[in-house]
Amino acid sequence: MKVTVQPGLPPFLDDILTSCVGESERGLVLSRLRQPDALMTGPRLGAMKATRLSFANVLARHVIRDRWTIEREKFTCDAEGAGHAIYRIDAGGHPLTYIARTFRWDGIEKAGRRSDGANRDMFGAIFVGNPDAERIAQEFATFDLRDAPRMRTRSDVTGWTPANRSARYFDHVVDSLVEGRQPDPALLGSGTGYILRNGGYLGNGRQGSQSVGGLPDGHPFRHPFFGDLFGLCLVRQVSIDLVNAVAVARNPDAARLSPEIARYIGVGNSSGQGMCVALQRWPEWVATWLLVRELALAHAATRRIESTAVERLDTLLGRAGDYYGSIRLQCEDYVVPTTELASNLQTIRSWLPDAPGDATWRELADRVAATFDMETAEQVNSLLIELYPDFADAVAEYLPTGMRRDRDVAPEMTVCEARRLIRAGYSWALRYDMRPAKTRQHFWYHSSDNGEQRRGERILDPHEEFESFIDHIGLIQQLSCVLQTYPDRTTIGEVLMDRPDLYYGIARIQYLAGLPYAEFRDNLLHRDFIPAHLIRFFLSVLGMECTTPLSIRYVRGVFFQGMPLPGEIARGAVDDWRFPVPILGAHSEGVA
Amino acid sequence: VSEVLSSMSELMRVGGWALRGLGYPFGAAERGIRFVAWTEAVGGEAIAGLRRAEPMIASSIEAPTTTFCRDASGGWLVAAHNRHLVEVGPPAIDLATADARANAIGHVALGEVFGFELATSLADLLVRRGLVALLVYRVADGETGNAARRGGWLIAGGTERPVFTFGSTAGDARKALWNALGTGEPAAEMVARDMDDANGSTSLGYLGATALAPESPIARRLLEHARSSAPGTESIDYVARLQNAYRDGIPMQVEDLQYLYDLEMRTWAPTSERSRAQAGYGVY
Repeated sequence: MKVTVQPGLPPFLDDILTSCVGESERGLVLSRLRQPDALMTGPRLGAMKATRLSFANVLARHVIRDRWTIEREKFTCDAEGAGHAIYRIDAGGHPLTYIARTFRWDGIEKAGRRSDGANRDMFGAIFVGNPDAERIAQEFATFDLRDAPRMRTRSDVTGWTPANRSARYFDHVVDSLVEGRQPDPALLGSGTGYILRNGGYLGNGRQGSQSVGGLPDGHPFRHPFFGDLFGLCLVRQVSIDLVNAVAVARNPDAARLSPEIARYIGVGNSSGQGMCVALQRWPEWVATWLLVRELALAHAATRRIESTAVERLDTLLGRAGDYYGSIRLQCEDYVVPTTELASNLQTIRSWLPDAPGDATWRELADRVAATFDMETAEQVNSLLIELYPDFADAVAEYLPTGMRRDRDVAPEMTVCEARRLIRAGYSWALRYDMRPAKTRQHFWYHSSDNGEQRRGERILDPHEEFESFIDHIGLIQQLSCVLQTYPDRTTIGEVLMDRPDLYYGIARIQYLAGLPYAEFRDNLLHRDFIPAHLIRFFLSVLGMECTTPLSIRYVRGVFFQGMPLPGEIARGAVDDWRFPVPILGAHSEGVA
Repeated sequence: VSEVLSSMSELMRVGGWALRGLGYPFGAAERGIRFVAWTEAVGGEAIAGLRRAEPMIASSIEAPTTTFCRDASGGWLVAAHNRHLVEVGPPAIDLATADARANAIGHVALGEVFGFELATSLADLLVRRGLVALLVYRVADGETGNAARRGGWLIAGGTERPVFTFGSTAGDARKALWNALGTGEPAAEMVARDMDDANGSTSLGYLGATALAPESPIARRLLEHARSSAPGTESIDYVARLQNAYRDGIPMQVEDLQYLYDLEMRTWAPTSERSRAQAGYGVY
């Protein structure tokens, strides 16, 4: 029996859908939801692009709409970049303070691994409220220890933002400014437009920082990933201020970054296969992200094509095409080349005038899917969601709620009921043949060399005993086998008394019941599984653009490229900034 | 510096791996850390307890399988064969929960256990499940450390502002508890046996847990008693303690937090050559 998407939505989403399209079209939208068997595969998920629903874009919308202010209170640094910065922030009525300690360049390009410890080019801390000078001095002193084991903070800090220079681009920008001119936007574009890259946000309890659950209700950082991503926003701002300050320290008459180029600068990020482990650990997150995304897409695809939407899509396709056309990637082995993406989007743009007035976007989406690769199709899907911002923004409100799930078990459930639950939700997993050696070839473990997840080969490599959990198919198969050995009316409580280790599997089938997009249909242990697919997916959900695998286990890209600058936000910017294109010959008026 | 501030999220993140470092399988560790973190957050020194108990935990990993059966009154008897509550406590509470949800009352008598720092967190599990808990316990003789209450009872329950009240299994506190339980109630008989077992048991630890549907008269009487500040009882506001821990962090001894990280490190391994081969640019 084929598992289909449940027609029932969570009441929150159902209410939005019904109020937007009415009862008559509700079924039509739900019928357009894609089936999990087709959607939940690595290549499909890895092809997905950031959307209006991605967390960075949702955050940016809050920042712009509520006119968060970021005021530079202090920024001092020497000609080598060693300095201190303090920013005062009003995050929609919630005061924050951000401090940054930038360090002299030591000549070493850093990847930003956990093993780098305190060896970063910059550390920042986001305080809740307005700490006094003594507290700020304490935090700066902690950064100056540059000794990770001794570096701890307190619960008045939501997180640290370590970051590293992209040396080539940093030097190019500073050298240009010192010489009184703007950097070459095309060169910046070739590096996806950043000069500092994320070194791994250390928040939500890490190093003694505030747990998100300890923030008061209504605080913006209670929203998933907002603390992390706003930290990246601030790193971006430091990168802009830092190159200006270093240039002035070297030459008092140096130019300052023009607003056009400053806006074009984002913040770089690279992520590894630990993200796959996180996705397996939090399937309710995956379920929520995809349900919200697919619902917004199904809603958009079932709208009738109207001229204003055609104009908007034409603009977006043009901008996205120009953006991809301006990007040069270091490695295109696992992606559709950006030049090809750009070309495809231009072709699709040429189809728009032919769109019949009584058609829906579904026809266009289906034609794109039938003609081009998955990345092009998913990019178009992302832009279709953008056409109906009110609906997308409304369903995005469900993200924090949907991502929270109680993982407690229901011990009164009988074995018979549990087996039925497995058959209903996991028949695909039960049918999967795990006997061939290649299906269990890899296991994942924590490397003591760098503190990150690595893949070892089963039998050949030691340490299987402590493998990280990624084997959801094996988990379900094992659980199913064990449950077969119990009488129907035995309770789950009795099973757990016998086998406490089965808790995770039992909780998983219980709390994920009815969530169609929770479980990947791929086997992550398989010899041929490519982690980069899921890493790209996670990063696109976060809002990263240009998600580019440099290998099967490592993906990089850029956040917040094109987002309005603090001064522009304070004056009232428009939330329409994605897909920036470098402006050649940008004028030399500096950013204040 | 002997004290350091940690956080719930940090304990949860590191602690799951730490329990695996102690020898617990993934599923049990994933569950157990929630009780460890909760206990540490409310000031229960759970991690110091794990540190002290590590040799006993190591022995328990190889101990005979836990056995359990129904007793004459319809409750459960569990012989844990000297296991830590982090492993057998939550499933025992599951047994009581399943019965309480079906019949308004569930009882489990858990013998040969240690790790009583976590006892209150088990009562909290019942509270989070919307049930009223009555725990009677006796700490094993061999268990040292900050188990301030070597034996006694704990009533926990309530939805708005759960109450946690401790009392003694002797003297006035015992009598007051009897009055609250009422005569002839099945729960009273179960608790009477718990008291006998707790007071009379050998050097091994004992935990009797009764789970009650909140609408039952006996549950209401127990909660009333727990809120009455009767002589010989002590109520602790764990809800406030937990909120404070989330907001302000969790003060811990440096060596305890370090111990947690050291346990986590046991689960790490050097990068293998086959792992390294997957790195770098281009097609692998």
